[in-house]
Amino acid sequence: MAIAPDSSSRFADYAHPERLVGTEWLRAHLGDPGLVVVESDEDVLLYETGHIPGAVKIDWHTDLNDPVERDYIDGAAFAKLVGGKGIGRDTTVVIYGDKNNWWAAYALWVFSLFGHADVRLLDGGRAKWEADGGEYTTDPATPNAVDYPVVERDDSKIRAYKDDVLAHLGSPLIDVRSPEEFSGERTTAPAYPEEGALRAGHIPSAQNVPWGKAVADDGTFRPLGELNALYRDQAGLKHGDDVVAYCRIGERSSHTWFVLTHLLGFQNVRNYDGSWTEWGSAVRVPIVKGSEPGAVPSK
Amino acid sequence: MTLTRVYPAGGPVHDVDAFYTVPRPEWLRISMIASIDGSAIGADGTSSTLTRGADRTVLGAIRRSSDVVLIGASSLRREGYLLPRSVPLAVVTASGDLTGHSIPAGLEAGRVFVLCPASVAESVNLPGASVIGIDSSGPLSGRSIVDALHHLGFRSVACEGGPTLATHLLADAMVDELCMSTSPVIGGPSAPALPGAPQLSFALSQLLVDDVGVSYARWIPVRPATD
Amino acid sequence: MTDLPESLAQIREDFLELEQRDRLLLLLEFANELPELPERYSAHPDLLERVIECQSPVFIFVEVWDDSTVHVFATAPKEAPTTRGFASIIAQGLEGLTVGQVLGVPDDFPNTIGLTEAVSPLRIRGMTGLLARVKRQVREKLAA
Repeated sequence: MAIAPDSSSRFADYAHPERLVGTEWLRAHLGDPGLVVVESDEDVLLYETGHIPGAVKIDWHTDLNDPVERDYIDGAAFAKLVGGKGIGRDTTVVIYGDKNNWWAAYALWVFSLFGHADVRLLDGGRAKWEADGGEYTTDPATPNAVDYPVVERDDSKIRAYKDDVLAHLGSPLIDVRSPEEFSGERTTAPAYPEEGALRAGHIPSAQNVPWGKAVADDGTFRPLGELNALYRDQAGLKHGDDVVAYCRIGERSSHTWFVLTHLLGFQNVRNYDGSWTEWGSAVRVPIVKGSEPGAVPSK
Repeated sequence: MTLTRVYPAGGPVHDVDAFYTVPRPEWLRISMIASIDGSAIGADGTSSTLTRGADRTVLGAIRRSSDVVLIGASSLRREGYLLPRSVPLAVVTASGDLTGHSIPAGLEAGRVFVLCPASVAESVNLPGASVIGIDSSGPLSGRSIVDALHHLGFRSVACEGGPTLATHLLADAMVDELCMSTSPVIGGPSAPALPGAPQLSFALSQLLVDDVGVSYARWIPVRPATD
Repeated sequence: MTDLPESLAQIREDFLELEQRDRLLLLLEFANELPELPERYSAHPDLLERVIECQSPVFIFVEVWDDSTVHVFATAPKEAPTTRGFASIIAQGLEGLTVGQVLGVPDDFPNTIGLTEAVSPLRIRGMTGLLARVKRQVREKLAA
């Protein structure tokens, strides 16, 4: 049975306020049966240095990805993974992490691929928890394993493959990387040169809306009015649009996918998780350099 | 790196330590790796080219269930032996000459013990090691080695070779278990894993295999029934 | 294993003997062991070189003493324990080695210590970058 949403006014304007929780709500609900808190970080050791009491760790890199192919684990592996962490099909899952919840959002997106109904983000992640005086523990979590049904992933609704993006050209495309990556000045984010591609630039017609514009300095999501100004006014997204978002390997675009889907209420948003590490190294896909979106190549 | 148990019952191995517990506190195991055709060394004269896959992790599990790691002096020299992290090291030498070892300086007390005949105790050249001189007319017997270890409080022993020491302990009926990793190669320099070993029969108590083809067997010597 | 300097071989052994989940804890131990920068660097952060291969800011400085031994100093923020762990392994593993030994360390050493599964191949590249920069600084100091 799902746990009541965080009904604070801060989230009320969003399209799906039940997808976010604040730190006070979480502190009040820690230990509730039916709730499992999950930490997903960029740094694989951060959880061990201290985590929210009772939280379990799910590492996007090592737990959610297939070790051989560039894809996510299948239904059986997912069931085993989350069941072992005490997560049942009806469990309310709250995910948080470092780096403004990039990887928490990515993990939430993967949970969504498997159709887990009630999965939410802790607004502001680790940084906000700490800023609000929340405590960490180093005690390892000891979840009781439960059964989780084997559900095959449905990639059709929120995931876009390279061919989907090629077919999508002409429809709204959001590139959430830094302006330098977008224009092609650099193939990689300043701190991530190991994730480079052979070519620099962006997918033709993409609007550049760096992911960070959606959050305040403390990592929490900006109010609805500011998000609307950003995505509807500046980037030109309209009600009913079919949108694809991408970045470098899909973690920042998951964050934007969350904003577009759950905060702004767009109903057809897909994350192109192959992102620039795939597009920038793929043979014969169109690429545009410079700070303008560029035109879709004629077929 | 996946480890799977094949015998006694098939299944995944997640916690290797649980598959290498000792049945009783006093237990001496030999832990070795050999090629399919029974050689204890690879092309470089050491076991380094044989070890792969989960072998070091299985070795770690065996060490963690032991009170001490026991090796012969030639292993210390030839293998460039490194200190085990979790347990002390005991080295058996007939001459006391440990030239060529790779043990670092600044050894803390209790990390390395040297077992040798009392007559050569003074000439042991391993600074920082505790030297245990044992009265013996010739090379140390298996019994005297094991007694010395028990005397030091080490009851669960993992002997990691070399072949001479391992064979010696087998011949003296000191061995409770033979843990043999088999590396999926042949054709290296021929160096029998257990040269001149006595004829012995074993019962297989467990077999694991990893995903690069190394197999890990636990063999228990079958002792003739004594009435 | 026999041609790796002993300090690095020991670190490799220590990791390989452990099961996957314990390897992460050992990495954390290394992270906690990263020594503070000596004052000659903590007071002059401009002297340190940023290692951009790491996902978090890591700064290193390499000294080659008159006796041709190499000494590595590094700093990384507390909220980047994996990066601190990598820096600590490199600093401890290379401490006091000769220039020849340091330049002879295989470039793929970080991939051989049993961490790729626990940490992910992508993250390991941070340590590979660290090692490469140390070698480059050593070469630069030799050429000077």
